Amino acid sequence: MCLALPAQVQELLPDDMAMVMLGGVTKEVSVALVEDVAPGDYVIVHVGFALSKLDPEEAEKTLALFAEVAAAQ
Amino acid sequence: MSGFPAEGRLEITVTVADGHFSAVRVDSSRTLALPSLFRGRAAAEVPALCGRLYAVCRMAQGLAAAQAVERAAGLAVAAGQQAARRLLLRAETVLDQGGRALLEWPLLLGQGADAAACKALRGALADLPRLLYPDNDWLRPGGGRLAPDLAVLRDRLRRARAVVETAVLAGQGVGARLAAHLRAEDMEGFGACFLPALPSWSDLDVAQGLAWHDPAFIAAPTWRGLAHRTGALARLERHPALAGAGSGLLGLLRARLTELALALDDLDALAARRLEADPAAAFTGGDGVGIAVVETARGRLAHRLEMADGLVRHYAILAPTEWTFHPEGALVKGLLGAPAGPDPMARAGLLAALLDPCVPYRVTETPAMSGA
Repeated sequence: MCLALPAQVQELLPDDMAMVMLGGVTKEVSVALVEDVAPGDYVIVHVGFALSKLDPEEAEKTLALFAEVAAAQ
Repeated sequence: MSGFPAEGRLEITVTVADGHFSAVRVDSSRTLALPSLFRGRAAAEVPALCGRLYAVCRMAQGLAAAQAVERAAGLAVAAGQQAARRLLLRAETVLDQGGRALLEWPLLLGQGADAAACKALRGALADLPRLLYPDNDWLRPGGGRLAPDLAVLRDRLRRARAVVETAVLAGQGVGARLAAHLRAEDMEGFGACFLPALPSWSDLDVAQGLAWHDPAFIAAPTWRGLAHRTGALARLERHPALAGAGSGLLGLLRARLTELALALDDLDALAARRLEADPAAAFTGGDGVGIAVVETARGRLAHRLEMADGLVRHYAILAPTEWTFHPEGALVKGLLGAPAGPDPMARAGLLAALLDPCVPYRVTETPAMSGA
């Protein structure tokens, strides 16, 4: 059930890798599947790969929904 | 941000005694409470929320939610919309299963992920919803404005087929390489077990046979009291391509490859049909409860909605990973009693990979209790 958690790119690394911030935790993921990723962009990550970019407004809306889930738990 | 829902993972703990797997435990940290977010919201919003909140299965989740809303409201959806939805579900199967084959299977062979091919596949299929529904209203209950550019659609399907056939299904593709590896390691039958395939469900079955309000059931579902198999092998167990392949690693691999080939053919057939705007959905009268069952890349996905005055009173989602990684499901039954070999964690990981959970997993080994 693979949640579409938006992760914000913090830093681009060599070999199509990037450091992203996901739910307050930084992790290294591959950005080989998406074009023109830059620090500050939001991406959807699944099993170590960024699958797609997300515009900031969409990302904020999605993050707000996940925050609601967290608050309810 | 503590408590923010993480992607979740499966922790698979194995114990080996006398050279065989003697105990297997699966702990899931997957967030299953997401549907609670829908309570009190307008039911008509739920499909779009599902399309936003889920990642690789977003088309299946969104379309299952749309169908649940339509059934609860008594909306009959036109044939053209149904064909377009079927096309999206099969495209997502190709995208997901092709993607796993390209990114994960090479790692099982000690090789690098084929990111270039996966990127090409995503470029062909990931935005199909918008291609079919230019207003991006594909998750509107009753159906959005269906107006595909058929020439572009068919070109996308040709591109997807070229990637999958070349990089996965061909004689030198990753599927054949993985099959050769299983044969060389004498692992073709590893992980085999008897587990009945989930049968087709009638409306009455899903209304009465599943404990939709019980979180423990949603986390570890059974059918008529028993764990069941879902996914490609369950769907294709009688397909000629699987004759003699068994239910172990080779059977699982061959089922996934066959599913990919069949899904590509389905896409071509669906793209040849009339995918046009249809008359608006018709009201047939609903009782406020809607259930949807769809076959996704990983198996059967079911949604159930209860609504009153257009608002969600209860929502439940039953996902395939909970069947497959059930305490008595395909992973656990496949490992228990099987030879552990020189690297038990790698063996268990191989079975987990081919059973294909929708979240990351980790295998660890814990020592057997001595003196037992």
